[in-house]
Amino acid sequence: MHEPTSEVERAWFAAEVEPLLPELYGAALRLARNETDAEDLVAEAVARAWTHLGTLDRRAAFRGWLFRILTNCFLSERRAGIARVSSEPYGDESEEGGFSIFDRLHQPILLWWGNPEREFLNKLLREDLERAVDALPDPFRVAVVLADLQGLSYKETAEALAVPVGTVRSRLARGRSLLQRALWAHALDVGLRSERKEEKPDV
Amino acid sequence: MLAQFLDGELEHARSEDLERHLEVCRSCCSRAEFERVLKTQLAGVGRRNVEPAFVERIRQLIGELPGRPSKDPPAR
Repeated sequence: MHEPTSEVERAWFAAEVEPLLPELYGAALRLARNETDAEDLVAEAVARAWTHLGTLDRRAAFRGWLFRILTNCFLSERRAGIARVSSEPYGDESEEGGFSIFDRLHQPILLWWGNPEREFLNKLLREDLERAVDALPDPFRVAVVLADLQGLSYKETAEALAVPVGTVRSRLARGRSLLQRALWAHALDVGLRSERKEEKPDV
Repeated sequence: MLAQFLDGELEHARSEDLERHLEVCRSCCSRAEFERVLKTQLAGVGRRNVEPAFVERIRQLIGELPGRPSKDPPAR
């Protein structure tokens, strides 16, 4: 059965989706980690969103809802891997004692005439950040992509992942810690930084 | 707690307490500034320019999607 509201809905849907494509594609690229799969992921999410548009409670919530569907499309292909991976340990990162680049760089004595942490950030390239995000294990990468790359709230991220807000908080903490560790390792590799003797041991 | 503050997820009263602390603690202020800038840089990674051909693919897809949206919940 075809109703006249259908084409109005379709025009509204197209007008909502198109401006979001750079963000959807940006998120999909970091989830799928290659361009072809990322484009297919966005297309699948758009098709699924249209099919289930009737379940969207508030149109103002469209963006978060669409990212939730994008995430579900990605996770549904990886679900077995996620379930297995989420119970595995990843190094010694914990919510309280994660890796911090700031702690490696900050030198209070230089406060007035130097800012090594700002210099570090200035030298960071987009591709450095992309590589570090891509290296995160799935559960942490998805949380970082939604909350940090797309600015979703903890609640929206929790809804997208179907986990409690506390789980989002801890995955973000671990994900960010792993991310900073990867950025730091890369900086050492390419000679942006060198380990100083007085630095804290890698605990 | 700093992460939740920067994420805008700290409750109002605690957020105000932390703001007051950042005004007087140079070390925490520097740390907050570092994390804030890194967060902004990460947000930049979340957007990628899309090729016109891809925009056209999505337009075409939406134009060809069948029927009226259903009331069924999205498959998880």
